[in-house]
Amino acid sequence: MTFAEALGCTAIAFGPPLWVFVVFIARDPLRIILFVLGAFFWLVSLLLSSILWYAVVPLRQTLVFGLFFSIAFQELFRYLYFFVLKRAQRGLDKLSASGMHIAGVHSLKNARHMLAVVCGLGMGTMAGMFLLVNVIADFSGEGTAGFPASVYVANVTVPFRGHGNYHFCLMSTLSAGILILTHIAWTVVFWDGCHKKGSAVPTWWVGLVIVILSHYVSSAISFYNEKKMYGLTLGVQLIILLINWMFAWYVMGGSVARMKAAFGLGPAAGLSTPRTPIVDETDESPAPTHQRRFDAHHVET
Amino acid sequence: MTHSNFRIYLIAICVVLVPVLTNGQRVADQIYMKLDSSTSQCFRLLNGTHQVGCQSKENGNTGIIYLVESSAELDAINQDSGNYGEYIVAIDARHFDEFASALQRMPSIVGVLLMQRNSEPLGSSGISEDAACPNERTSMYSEDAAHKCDWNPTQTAAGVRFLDWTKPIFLIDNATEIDIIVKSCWETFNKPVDGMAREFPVCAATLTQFMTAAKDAPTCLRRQEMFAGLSGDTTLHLCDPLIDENIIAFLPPTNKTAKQMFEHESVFVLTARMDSFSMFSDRTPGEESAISGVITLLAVANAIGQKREQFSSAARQRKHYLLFALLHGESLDYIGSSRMLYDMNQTKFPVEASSSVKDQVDQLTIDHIGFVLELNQIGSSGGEHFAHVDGTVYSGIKREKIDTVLKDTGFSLADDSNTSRLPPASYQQFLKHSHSIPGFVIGDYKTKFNNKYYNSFADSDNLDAAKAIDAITKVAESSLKAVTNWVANESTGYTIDRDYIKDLYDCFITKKFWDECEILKRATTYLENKAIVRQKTTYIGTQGSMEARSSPIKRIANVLMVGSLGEKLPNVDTKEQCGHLSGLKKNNMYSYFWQLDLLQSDNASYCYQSTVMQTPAQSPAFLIEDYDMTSGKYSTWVESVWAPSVSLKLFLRPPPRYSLWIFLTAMVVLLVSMAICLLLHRISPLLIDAHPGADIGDPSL
Repeated sequence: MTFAEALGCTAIAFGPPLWVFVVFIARDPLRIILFVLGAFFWLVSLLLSSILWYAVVPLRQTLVFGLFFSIAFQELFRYLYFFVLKRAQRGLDKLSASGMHIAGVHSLKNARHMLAVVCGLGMGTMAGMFLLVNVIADFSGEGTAGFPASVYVANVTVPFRGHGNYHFCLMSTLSAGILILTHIAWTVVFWDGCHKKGSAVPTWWVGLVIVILSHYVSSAISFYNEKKMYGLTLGVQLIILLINWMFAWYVMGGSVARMKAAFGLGPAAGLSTPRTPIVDETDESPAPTHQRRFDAHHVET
Repeated sequence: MTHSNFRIYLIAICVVLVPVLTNGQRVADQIYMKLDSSTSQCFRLLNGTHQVGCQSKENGNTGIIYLVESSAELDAINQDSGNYGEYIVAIDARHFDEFASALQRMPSIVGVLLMQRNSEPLGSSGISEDAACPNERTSMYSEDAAHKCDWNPTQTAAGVRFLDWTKPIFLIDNATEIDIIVKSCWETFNKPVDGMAREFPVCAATLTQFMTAAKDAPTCLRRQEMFAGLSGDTTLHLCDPLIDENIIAFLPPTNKTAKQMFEHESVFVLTARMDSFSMFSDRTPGEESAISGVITLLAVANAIGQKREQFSSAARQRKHYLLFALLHGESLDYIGSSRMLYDMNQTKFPVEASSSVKDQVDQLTIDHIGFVLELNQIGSSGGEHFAHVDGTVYSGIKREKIDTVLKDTGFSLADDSNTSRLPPASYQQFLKHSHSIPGFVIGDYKTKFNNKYYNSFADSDNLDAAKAIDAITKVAESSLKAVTNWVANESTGYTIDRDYIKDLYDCFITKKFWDECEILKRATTYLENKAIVRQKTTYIGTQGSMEARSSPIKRIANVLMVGSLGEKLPNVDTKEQCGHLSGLKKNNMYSYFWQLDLLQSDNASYCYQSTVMQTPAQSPAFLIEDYDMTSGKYSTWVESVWAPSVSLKLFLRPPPRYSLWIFLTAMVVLLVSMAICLLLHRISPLLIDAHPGADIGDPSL
């Protein structure tokens, strides 16, 4: 692989998340902080997985064991992040309730799905980075995978685990890209479930089950990579991505009617006209009302 | 990367969601296969005017593996029908000499893997790395334009070792690794099918061995000095002069105080060289090239040592002396002999006169030398041996002296005409200084070397043991007779111990390592760095610290000489006492070595007093101030230092267009995802519910 290929693989995996970051996150300092915090939470979950893996000596070679607990820790920290944010929000509520204007409080209060997107992207980016960084580093030389696996000679033990074709790096790249985007949806759905639990909605557990289950499935399916069934792996991971995004869209209040309206195919009537564009509170032009409300605050103080 | 970090990396790879990797392995292990059993790489030497040998670029040379068995493959490489660009040629050692100059010349070949299976004899082809006329520049005939010198039958007249390859050559003798290269790499991925070059991916190799010295010896030494001057770091080395020691012994010893001094033409020099070379630093067995002569000389020394007292007193009466000289670095422009003669001219041989020492040896000068007998390649199974003389000397007034010794030895002259020329031999250096020293060179060849592996990595396992031992015994007996007659005027009472020759042959040549037999195992008992000493290497090498790194052959030969010629001192019971004796400086006639009695089997060690000494084998070129390195008078060889990152790895190379394709795809992905994100941003107020809290009724989450 050449430098161009290494660059290409990086761009394929991190290109879409990069634009999500640029368009939805980069304008708001608070979102950048939460993005980094998401990455940090994922790192801590990795640390715990590592400690556990290191401690349980007999199971170090058992991949399934490590995999199981790694995902468990990741979901645990997704919840912890939600918990911490909620506590932070309560404190900020008290401040803003007493009539003070604090920048960013609004986005914390009124755009919880956007928060989930931001934090999910943070976790996903870190996960994707750890998945890909060594692959890219190892592939940045001139060779491609396959030769050691093709050597069957006595006295040279090279276990056959490889892929034997030069698409290996691209496959890892696509996998990582899908993973990052799926993390966003997972966080939206997961936090929505947590939120609904707090609000005593009886179906609160559905989202959580979907997230955890699909997380396990998307990892488990990758075992088929050893049998060179990249198509299957990537296909399943892509389906999981789509399912989770559909669900995320649904919990965000999406519907076919909205879809039609958004693309100008159906009437917007019957839908509540948005008072605030949830995805970007700081963008002034599409939301004059929202701006006015803040001004009112200002006047009051 | 620290250990713990690595663990975390590992777990990240293993555990995170897409375990495409296996536990404990990096992707790199699935890409690159390192072949590291071979430690033999061609390295660079430089002399006053040239650089020779090999090197890779700093990051290694990469090319597609191509197996060359005939010129057809070379044509295929020339045409490059597979568009592979650069090639690494894998070639059987048997074909190497044949294609060496083509491999060196072709620019699309960026590296060579030389494969030598231990089990397979090299056959009749032969490989000598030396030139057709070895040591031509420093030869006594170098200015003789009419002289046709082609002693060494090789297909590469300049000598494979003396080509400037500017590409790496790795020697591989591990059968498993050869199989990997030939079968797994070449046959599986690269070998053309029905004459058609294979499609990518194809198997490639990266050879890394970077040399720090370039151009020529003076340039390198000057740069080294400048670096040291700038940084004050004298440990930085780019290249080092070749240096070791000759082993000499006088019998009887001279003593200036006792007026026992050399007289005009009173010294008989029995000499043999103990070094050979190869492109590959640790592959210099030199069995026929050097060791056969060394064993012969050691056998003569042993025979005389048995009757040391008798020989010495007889010699003293005639005021004649015998000088044993095992010379080092002779194969690289006569380093040892040129230094010995240089020291003689400076009256510093064997040591400088000193006022602080009571009993001193006399200084030997060139006119003390009465005869030179050189043993050069003895063991080849041809059977017959010839004496080689210089025609001018032989047709001069010294003819009678030569004939006398010749008669003692019983050898016939290879050429008795006045145009007779000496083969490459240390004796030439004597004649360069004084063209009237009688002498001859004994070898198992007449007009061309019988040895097809003269100075090469393959000069090993080619001799027939029984015939070689016979030949060595025969030459040793003849030489012994000549020596005793000349020096002591006695032709009887001295016998060559055939068993001793057999033992030495077994140790030096038959065994895989030098300490695998009894006598050399005992000989190496007190030597440092045993792991190095046991290696079959005769290359002179460079010296960081003299003692630790000096060549195995010299250190072992020294012990054997001391064992043969030395006298056990009674009343010296410890190594420390023995070492103390050398430090006393009461005399410089004797040296003292603490060692086992090689011919017994007990563990008793003794302090040996002997006349065995080491004299420097470093070219005078590095001593003489403002010496003109281009003059060709003395050897100017320096060895380049190489970067420690030496490696050979194999891998598959993807199609060259693949990376371009990936890159373009990535650009498309970037553009499309940007468009989608901007679109989503625009329509998201419509697409989703803007009041996430509204449906629950709890605005605070």
